[in-house]
Amino acid sequence: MKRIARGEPEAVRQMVSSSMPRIWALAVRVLGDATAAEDVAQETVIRAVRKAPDWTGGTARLDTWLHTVALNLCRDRLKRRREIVTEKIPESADPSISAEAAMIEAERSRDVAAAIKALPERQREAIILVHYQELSGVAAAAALGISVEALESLLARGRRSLKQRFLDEERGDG
Amino acid sequence: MADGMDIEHFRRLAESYGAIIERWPEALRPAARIAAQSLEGQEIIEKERALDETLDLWSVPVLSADLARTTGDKTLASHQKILRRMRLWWTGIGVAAALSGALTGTAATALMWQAPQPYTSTVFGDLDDGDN
Repeated sequence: MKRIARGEPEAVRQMVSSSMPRIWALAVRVLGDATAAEDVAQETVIRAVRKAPDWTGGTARLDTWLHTVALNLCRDRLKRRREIVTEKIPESADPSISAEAAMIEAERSRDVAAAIKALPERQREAIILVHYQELSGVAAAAALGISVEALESLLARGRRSLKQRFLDEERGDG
Repeated sequence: MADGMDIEHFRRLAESYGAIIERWPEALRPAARIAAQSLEGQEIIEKERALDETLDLWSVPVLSADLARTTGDKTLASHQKILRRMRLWWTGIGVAAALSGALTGTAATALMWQAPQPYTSTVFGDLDDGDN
């Protein structure tokens, strides 16, 4: 961050290339919209660069800070939208699997996405941060502005709901 | 009770963080690993692993390298613009300070300036004051 504050171009590019894919992945999962996720990711890294002169934390804190900012930007967008847009995410084609297998995989992916989107907002965010973004409990709690105990409660409730939903779906299919 | 960790505590952690103990709070991992070796611990882990694997089915594409590069260039351009403005601002402060100093100096010089002495003036008085 010191190098970024000094205006070193390579430092800026490195920060963007290392942070942006991760932040984009978070925004895609929260927003369900790849284009909106691009905007959020770009805005997040631009804010990080602007913050560089005042930055006092280390790399781990930067990751938490980026997640906090991105999450808040996502929430702002969702409030404006008043609904969660269902999948506008381009599906990645895996050339190593057959078309039928790819279709099944895509459908299962959509089912899981739908299940997570059906969760209450805070439970959804907690699960996305911990399971998908692999933030530690401390970092995820900080990004959400809650205690670790509160985070663990959100995670447990969210996971319980998901287990029940998938079990019901399985029974329904069977 | 499993060594180092009450099984109910182990269960609560597994239900929150899932089957991968490396994602659990760091300080609790050693005790958790011991608890995970018990029969009950293994059952708990297996149940959460099934959910973890289902959650992993939700995949998102990888961000394109082009977009990351474009964002890097945009961010850099924006950052350099801000740095240039900051330099101009500091330069402006410097100019303002210099001007302020110059004005102060001019005023001081004006105070010290005196009307040019007439040709006949001496330190002993004017030569043509009529006393001689």
